Amino acid sequence: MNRALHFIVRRCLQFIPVILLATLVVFGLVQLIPGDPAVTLAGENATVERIEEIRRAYGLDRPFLVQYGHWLGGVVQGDLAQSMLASKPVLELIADRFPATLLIVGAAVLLALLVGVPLGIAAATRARSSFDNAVMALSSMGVALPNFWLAMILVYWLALSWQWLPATGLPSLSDAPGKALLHAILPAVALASAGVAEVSRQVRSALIEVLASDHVRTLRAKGLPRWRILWQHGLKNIGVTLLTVLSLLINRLLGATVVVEAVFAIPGIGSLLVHSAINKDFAVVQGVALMMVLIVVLINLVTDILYGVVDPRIARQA
Amino acid sequence: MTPALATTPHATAPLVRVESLAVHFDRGRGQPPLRAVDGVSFDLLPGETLGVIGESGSGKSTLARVVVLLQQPSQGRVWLAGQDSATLAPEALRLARRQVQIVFQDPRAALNPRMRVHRLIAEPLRIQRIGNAASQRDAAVELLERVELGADFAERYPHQLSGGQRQRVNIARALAVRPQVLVCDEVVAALDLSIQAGILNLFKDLQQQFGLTTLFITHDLGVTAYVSSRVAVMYLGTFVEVGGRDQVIDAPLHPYTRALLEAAPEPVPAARRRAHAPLQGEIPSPVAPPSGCRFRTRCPLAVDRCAAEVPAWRELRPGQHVACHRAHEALDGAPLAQRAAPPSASP
Amino acid sequence: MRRAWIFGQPAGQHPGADRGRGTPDLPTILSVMFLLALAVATLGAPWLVTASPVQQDYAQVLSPPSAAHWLGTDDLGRDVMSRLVHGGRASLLGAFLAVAVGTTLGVPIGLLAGFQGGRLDEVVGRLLDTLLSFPAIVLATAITGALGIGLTNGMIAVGVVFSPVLARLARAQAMVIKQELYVDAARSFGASRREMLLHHVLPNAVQPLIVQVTLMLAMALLAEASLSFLGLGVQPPWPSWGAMLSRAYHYMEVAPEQMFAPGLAILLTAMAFNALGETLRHALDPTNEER
Repeated sequence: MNRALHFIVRRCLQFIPVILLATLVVFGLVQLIPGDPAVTLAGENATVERIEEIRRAYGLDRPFLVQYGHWLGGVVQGDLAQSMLASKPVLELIADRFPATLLIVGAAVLLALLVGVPLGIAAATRARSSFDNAVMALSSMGVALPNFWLAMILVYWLALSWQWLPATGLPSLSDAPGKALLHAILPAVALASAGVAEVSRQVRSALIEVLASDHVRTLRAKGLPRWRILWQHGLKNIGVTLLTVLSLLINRLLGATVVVEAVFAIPGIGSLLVHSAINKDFAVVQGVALMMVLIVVLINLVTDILYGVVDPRIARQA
Repeated sequence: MTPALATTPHATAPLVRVESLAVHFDRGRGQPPLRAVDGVSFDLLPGETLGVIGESGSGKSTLARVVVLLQQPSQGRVWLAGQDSATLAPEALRLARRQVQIVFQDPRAALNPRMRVHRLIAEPLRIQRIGNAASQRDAAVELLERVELGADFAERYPHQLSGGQRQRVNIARALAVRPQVLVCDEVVAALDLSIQAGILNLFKDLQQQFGLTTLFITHDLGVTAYVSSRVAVMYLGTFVEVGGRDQVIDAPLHPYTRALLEAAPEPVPAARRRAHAPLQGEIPSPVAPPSGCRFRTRCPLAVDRCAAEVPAWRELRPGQHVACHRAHEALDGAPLAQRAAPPSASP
Repeated sequence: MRRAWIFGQPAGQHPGADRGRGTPDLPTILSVMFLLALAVATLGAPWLVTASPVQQDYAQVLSPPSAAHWLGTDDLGRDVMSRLVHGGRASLLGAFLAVAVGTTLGVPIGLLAGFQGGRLDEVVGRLLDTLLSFPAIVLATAITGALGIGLTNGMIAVGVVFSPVLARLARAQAMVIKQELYVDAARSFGASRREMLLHHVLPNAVQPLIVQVTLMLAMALLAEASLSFLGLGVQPPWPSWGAMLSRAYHYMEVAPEQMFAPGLAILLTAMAFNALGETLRHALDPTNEER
């Protein structure tokens, strides 16, 4: 038990530099703004006073590290500055819109796993058959398909032509859960498409490797029924793969949601990001970017720790 | 334990001098280091070929790498033509490298698979900025002739060559900057027996032509007997015996040397074959060498003193040094087996 | 090796065997041909396609394919064919720009860090991990937002987002190659670090990088489509495939067929790049080379 705790603590510590670096990167984005950042941030038609106000508010006249420290201090306390456009605290804006994103991304993750894993297993157990080839081909297409193209097609067919599902928008989950779920279906499917492709591909190759291993061959020779081999030995051994796939999936979907939300007019943090980037509401851009990277890093941390659970050898190595 | 210099002062200055050399590899986490080389001193005199013979694990390859400055010593110093390598500034170091070159054991791995032969051979010239592209290429072709490959090998890639041919390319490359000293690290070990002779003969010719001084590392007695003028026997990181080739091969003093010689396969009619005491066991780990004399765990002559006291480095014959408490007993030339004593107490 | 790639394997090989390994299967041939045709069409766009991609003609809004307009017109009466070709030019050039930026930033850093090891490698490793923790589009959006929206900035941002992937790959390669004996040999001649990296590490590291770069062209294309779709990339009136999709989406109820041309173009091109990349991977596999 002590060793487990030790392992967890070590992993957490190893992630701190990553988190710090992430905040540095997010903060450093401001430096990329060409010309005088204060002018850009103040927006068009800004008065000289306004520009100076911005300069002071963002601390742009102070050295980089001081600015960073100041900003970081604020972040830790939950203060992500104000949105210029909405005149609201950034954190509030994000909190308002996060549930929508969470809903569709969560649904998409479930969908990708529920469809992708069985597909991968099926393909692996029928390796090199026409079924397998079909899955692989679909998989390559899935990866190449622009998310939003599929999304658009879905909207067109299912929503507009056949009127099965709503096309756009997402009512609040708390207000109208049924309707919200309905609205979430298409976006989740669009999101999940690339995810399914990747998940099935990874599961398939990992499982093929395990099934071809000497260990499993011996079991087969001993006469153990196939489904048992698959369940007890095959799947357990790909636990690590699944974890990896999961964390990569979430990373990818958080990115894809930016586009999908635009297609389906979902009021989530993805569309917030785009809107703010176009209108140079930079504090919001930073806030959303920071939130997303923190989510990914946390998921990575959790999966790293879970690796130790799934495969004790990894925990021992640490 | 670092034996004193293995040779008496010379009339001519040594090209390479190694003093009290030790190379310890750190294994981390409070574990004792791996003592690959643990106290070696010798001089390399102009024109000679010093054959260093030892089993795997004796540290001879590490020694070779130190001499060509690919490996930093943990202790001790290396002098190249009178200059202490540790004190050299980067630019001076680069120039010093012209004087010592190495030919490695694995002919294939030592050649960049993506470079053609002429570029491979000319590379030292290019790095040392000797000449221009045209002259470098000419030099490469000339060297190809000298190693008995033709000019038509110039455009080939390593994978198009046989093992022996690759090793010739390696030799040509090592000679490109006309070094004074050549270190050969097991240069024929990876080659078929039939090829080995060719390479060794080539090597002897080149030594003459280029006036080379050589440090010749090998595990093969026959090879060392063929090429060396002096022989040093290495065991577990130190020299146990050094002397002229004939001295060491025909009248060895150290039990290890004697065991090696007696164990060497030789076409000897049954009548003349003598009983010999085979070497017991395997070479101990360089992490924890035995106390006192390192060889005592496998030595048929070991006595209690050998565990307690590190043997001194003594010049028992002119030019022949040994580190063994009982070496003097071999002066009369009797075979090892007759001298075997019961094994000593616990190692 | 190249001969086998072009002329196929000797008889006796199973046709259904693992794809690649010197056999140019149908997808590969099709991909290469397609890409070549595409390259010619798009790079030669200004000369090949006479209709203007931006000229509006309100009389012919959303008209179906005709002799004058092979693919019809869009919502502002602009010739779709012309926009497709010019848009392809923008999208492809953008993709190459992104990959060029990614390679220039990522590969040298990766090679150096992997070769040098030690402190530098640790720091670079952490930086790479951090950058890779950002969802790609999010980082690209943020960078584009900072630089200012537009195709060039957008693709530079995409390149920056790609660079850690290439850096990581280059680093892994360098770490393996630096152990090779021929690197030691170079060191024994007095080679400087720069010389070792340039003459020994890079040439031997390049194969997987080439494969990755090809695959990244597909990703860059999709990234450009996404960015332009979101309004961060190509700005109107100029076309790119993503921008065309965006417009088509808004007019979907009226003229849904507008979505197909650009979407299909993106899909096919991305698939072609992918197929090419996969083939290169098989062909360049060192265990595969004919000696």
